[in-house]
Amino acid sequence: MITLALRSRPPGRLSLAGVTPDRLAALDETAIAKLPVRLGNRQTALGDWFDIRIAGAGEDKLVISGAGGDRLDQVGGMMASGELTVEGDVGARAGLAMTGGRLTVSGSAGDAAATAMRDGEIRIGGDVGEALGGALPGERVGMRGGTVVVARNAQSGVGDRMRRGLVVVVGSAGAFCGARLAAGTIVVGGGIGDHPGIAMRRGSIVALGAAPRLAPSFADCGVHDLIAQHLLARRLALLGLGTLASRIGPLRRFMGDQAEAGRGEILVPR
Amino acid sequence: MILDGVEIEDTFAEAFGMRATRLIVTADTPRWARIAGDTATGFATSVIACGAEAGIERDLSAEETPDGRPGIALLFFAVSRDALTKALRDRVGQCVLTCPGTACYSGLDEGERLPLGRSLRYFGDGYQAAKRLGDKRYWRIPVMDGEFVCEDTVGQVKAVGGGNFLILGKTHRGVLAAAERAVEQMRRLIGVIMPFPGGIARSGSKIGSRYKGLVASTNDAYCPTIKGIVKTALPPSVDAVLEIVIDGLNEAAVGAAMATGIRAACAGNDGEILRITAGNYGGKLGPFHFRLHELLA
Repeated sequence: MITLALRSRPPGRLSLAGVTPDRLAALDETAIAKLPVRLGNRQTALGDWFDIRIAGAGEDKLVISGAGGDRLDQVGGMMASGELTVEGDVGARAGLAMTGGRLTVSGSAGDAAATAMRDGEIRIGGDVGEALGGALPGERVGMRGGTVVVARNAQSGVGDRMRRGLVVVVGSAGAFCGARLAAGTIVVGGGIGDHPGIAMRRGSIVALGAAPRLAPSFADCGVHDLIAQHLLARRLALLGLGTLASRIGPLRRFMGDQAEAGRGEILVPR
Repeated sequence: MILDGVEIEDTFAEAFGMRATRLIVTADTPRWARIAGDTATGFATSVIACGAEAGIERDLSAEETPDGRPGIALLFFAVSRDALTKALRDRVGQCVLTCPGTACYSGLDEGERLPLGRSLRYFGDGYQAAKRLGDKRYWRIPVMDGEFVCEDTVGQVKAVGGGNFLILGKTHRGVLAAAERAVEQMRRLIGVIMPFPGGIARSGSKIGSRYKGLVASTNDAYCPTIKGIVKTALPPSVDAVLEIVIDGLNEAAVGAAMATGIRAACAGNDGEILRITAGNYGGKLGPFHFRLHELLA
């Protein structure tokens, strides 16, 4: 296991893209310390900011600790395998373009977590900022696979243009949740902001809190206890979200956005 | 070899390579899962004319199924990947999709995947939707009682078909009772099916016929009513023969099932059963040879 202990809060945004357990596993402490990381637009070395300790060789496990992690951006960016644990908060774009492995953040994450994520698992112990699971600027689709679990609340724009994967927000989600959703599944345990699923084409938004205000372009298709809901509940239980899973019973199904392809669904308490 | 007073002939069953898969069908109740299973595996005794050989492997509790409902495990065998694909599409499409409340999942993770839900989704006429959860992809097809959920693809393995043994006895009643004992015990095993009615075949066949175009015909050497006029394989006191055919996901499963079935058929024999033998083609056609003495050693 490799431990990176942050000495102090960086004076600006420090990008940790590419500092991932799979890439660090084969390196010694000296080589790890020399890895380039960017502070704003300035090139620095990882060893300038972190105390590095390796215990046990060849393990795909990386721990980042220390106060001030909210200035660490792109934590777990490009990660392909292994396990990255952050003891504390992280900044923007955690898990950027992740293709595998598991990123666990005990605290909160900033904006744009899981942007362009393709596979793997991200667990956020606190809140997340805006645009969870969204797209990179200029790209047509957002998150394309994998699983994201947020233990508390998410701000606006969850799953914007998401194409595949599962996003679970145990608490509440802000406005435009699942907007322009192409496919995939978003589960929100608490309240959900305005304009959920606006312009969504396919995919599922399961809003288990108070029934959200929906645009008139969502058609009421009645209350159902669908097998797909059972499968989703099982999946949530496997993720350790048994309490949330137990709340998935018969739900009212709205299909939309009829202003778009209209094959998406928003499932709400009846 | 003598087992419970029954002669075990020193011969072997000759079996063939097949392609196989397991489906898990769930429903609202065990009864409806069984109805779906019975229907989907009906008319599937022999690849000669049915396209596939199929049967119910076992009932599944709600805890054992992907959606937490009661279910049933079905095994399907065919001579090729393409034949298996077609049989699955047709049987699930006509017998499971149509059955109230059912859903259908792959019961095998290994092997090259075969399309299932991917083919059946078109029944949704554009209203179908895919749903990926974890590493599984499902199709949700709207139907009149809700949605038919079917896994996108199913696994398949190289399997073994045509394991067999024959029970030779004095009377039809005695041989049937022995065959029923055998099937009852064999049905407790995993990975095998006995595809014939009730697990038992009375019409053992040989390859070819005197009639043009008929690929199989009655195994006259084992037909007691003509034993006086053919080159019979039956002792004079044998007046009834029944065969149990076994398809299994692997060689070991078929061998274990044959051993279990033969022991059960012989157990408690009151003199009705005279001999156990097996069907083969001289060992030149099928790659799998199950020697009865070795199975029972």
